[in-house]
Amino acid sequence: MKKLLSFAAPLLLLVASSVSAQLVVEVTSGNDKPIKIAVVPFDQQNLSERTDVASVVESDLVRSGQFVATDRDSMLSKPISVQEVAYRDWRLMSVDYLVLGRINEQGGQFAITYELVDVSAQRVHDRGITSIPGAELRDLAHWVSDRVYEKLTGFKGAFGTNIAFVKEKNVGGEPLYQLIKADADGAREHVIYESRAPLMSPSWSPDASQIAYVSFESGRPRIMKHDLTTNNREQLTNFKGLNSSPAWSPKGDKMAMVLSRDGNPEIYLLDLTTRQFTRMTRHYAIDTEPTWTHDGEYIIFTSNRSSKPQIYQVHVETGVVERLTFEGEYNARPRATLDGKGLVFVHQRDSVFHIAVQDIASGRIFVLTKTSLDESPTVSPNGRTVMYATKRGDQGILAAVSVDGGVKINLPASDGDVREPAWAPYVD
Amino acid sequence: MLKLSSLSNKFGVSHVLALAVSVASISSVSAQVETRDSTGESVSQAFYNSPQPRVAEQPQQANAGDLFFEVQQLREEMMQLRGLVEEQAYEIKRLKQQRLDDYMDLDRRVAALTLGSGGAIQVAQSNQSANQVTTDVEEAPVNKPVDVDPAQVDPNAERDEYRAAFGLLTSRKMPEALVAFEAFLAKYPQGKYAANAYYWMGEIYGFQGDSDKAEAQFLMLIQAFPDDRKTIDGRFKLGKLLFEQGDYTGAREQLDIVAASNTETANLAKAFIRDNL
Repeated sequence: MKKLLSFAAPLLLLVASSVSAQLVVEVTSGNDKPIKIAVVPFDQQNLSERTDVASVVESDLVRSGQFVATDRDSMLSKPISVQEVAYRDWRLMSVDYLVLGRINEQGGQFAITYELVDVSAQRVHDRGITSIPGAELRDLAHWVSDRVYEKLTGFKGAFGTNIAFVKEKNVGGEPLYQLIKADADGAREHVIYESRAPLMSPSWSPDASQIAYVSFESGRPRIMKHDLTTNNREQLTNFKGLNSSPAWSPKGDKMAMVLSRDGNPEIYLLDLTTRQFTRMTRHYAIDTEPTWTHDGEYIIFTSNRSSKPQIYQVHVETGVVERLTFEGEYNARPRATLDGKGLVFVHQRDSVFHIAVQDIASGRIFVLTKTSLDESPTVSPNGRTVMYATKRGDQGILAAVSVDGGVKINLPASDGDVREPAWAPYVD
Repeated sequence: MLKLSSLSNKFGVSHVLALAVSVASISSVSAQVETRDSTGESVSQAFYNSPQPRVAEQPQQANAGDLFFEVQQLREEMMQLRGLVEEQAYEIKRLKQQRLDDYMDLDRRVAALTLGSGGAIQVAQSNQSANQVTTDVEEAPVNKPVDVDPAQVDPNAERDEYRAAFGLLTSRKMPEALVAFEAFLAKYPQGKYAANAYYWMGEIYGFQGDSDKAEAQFLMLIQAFPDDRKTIDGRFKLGKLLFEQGDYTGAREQLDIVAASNTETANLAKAFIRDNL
């Protein structure tokens, strides 16, 4: 475990404030030994789009907590290619790595060349060229961030991935609910669907092409499936009682959900091809919030069958149920970590709700967040970060914490209450 | 429940609410249904079989109500008991594992101790016999005592006394062996077995858990006989003792010397450094 440094007064790092207010990221606590990086403004003149790519890259990297960035204004020189780099200048500022880049545009398509320069070794550590059809500059920026992150930390980056969440706004004195898709940094919000009735529990299909969610538009909850490319909506369930918490299986062929059609909330499995329902749990207590292990062998869920909400798993094949959490009076909203060894969930301690991670084998619980009312954790596809919903004042915001608890950030505030983030899988 | 109630206000009926709602309200729906099932089985079975088949409706309804609450109560109690059983099963599993871990740890330490000293005894004996050979064939070892007149000392007497003390050690009479080695050292402070005596005293103290005395003994050995082959073994043991006490630098210092030596112990030291330091 890395020693983590928590500052007595939360350190507010305002990054890229010059670009747009939407992108202000707050790093509330950071790594104790970050890599010093300088992202020099890219050569991107005469482009049809204006996004400052270098500043997006910079804020991506800083947000990971593994990096600190050199302020642009204090750069002694601003090279755009390796030939122009005066290593002495950067050593003087004790910069570890430089990121340089050049972008040009041909027929409305951007092409980027980037270099990652090792200052102490005085050589190019990585160089890459790409051109993604239909990509915006922000996509290219995330591509560079992913690449730098992987080169320097050894972990695959998740800057180019999306998140979905629910936003509640007050429009004309009435609440408006929106299902939003955005970049992992909260930028480029895109409304997938909106309704005057509540929307809940977004869940991504494993290929990130569809989202399932719960809609109350007909007055009672129904599980809907929404195709993001065609914008087609399809109703999957409309039973009497509860229809909630859809969770796509890792293979994408099944969906776990909660239905109360047989009396009280139970976990069911819907085969998306045959449309057959299989009841997975059978207990007069409440079984809810299903989620899958990454191998698809177990469904992890919350149940109060032991009179307090605790996390259980059911083996899909055999239906054998096993309890997973034992510490504390309230453990709910589970998500499996990427390696399958851990469990992220909402854990009540000292009457406050935190996001915690538990090592399944040892049963040890590690509380990740210090705020109260933290809920709905979702794990990034590279397994490095947990995003969750929390409150700042009265407003619901999204925040993220690294799985080792070392780095915490608040995502930029949106124009409404946001909750229930769902981190999309990688798109191959 | 503050959190849940605030959420449920927002979402109306939802899974969040579902959890928040006490078991009572949700289960009441199905409870009513199942009450009828269980009626046939249990209480009412006796009721129907009773000599008065026709009973006024009033008490029957009251009975159904009672049953409903009873089932409810049973369910709640069942859930609490289930929780208790699950937690205790987990606790037992944890304790069992812990006990096993503790035992394995103890076993490992004991094995290390017995193997450590046992192995060393063999090495020592072979050392000894090697010494023996040289003494027999030639005359005396290199650092031959100066202050003792060889003519007045029966070389066999020293050897026999050392063997006697060592015999006590091999027959696991530690305190006696300690006394014997001490007496031996008092008599032959520069004798050709003196280094071995220091070493074994260090080992015995170490075995008895007195690491301070053990360390002192090994240090005396190193100081008095820097070039004796037993000193390398002594340094190795000292290094391990220091390591166990958390003095990694000190341990490393000793182990590095051992590792650099051209002895069998060097490999042990290298392995130890590789695994632990």
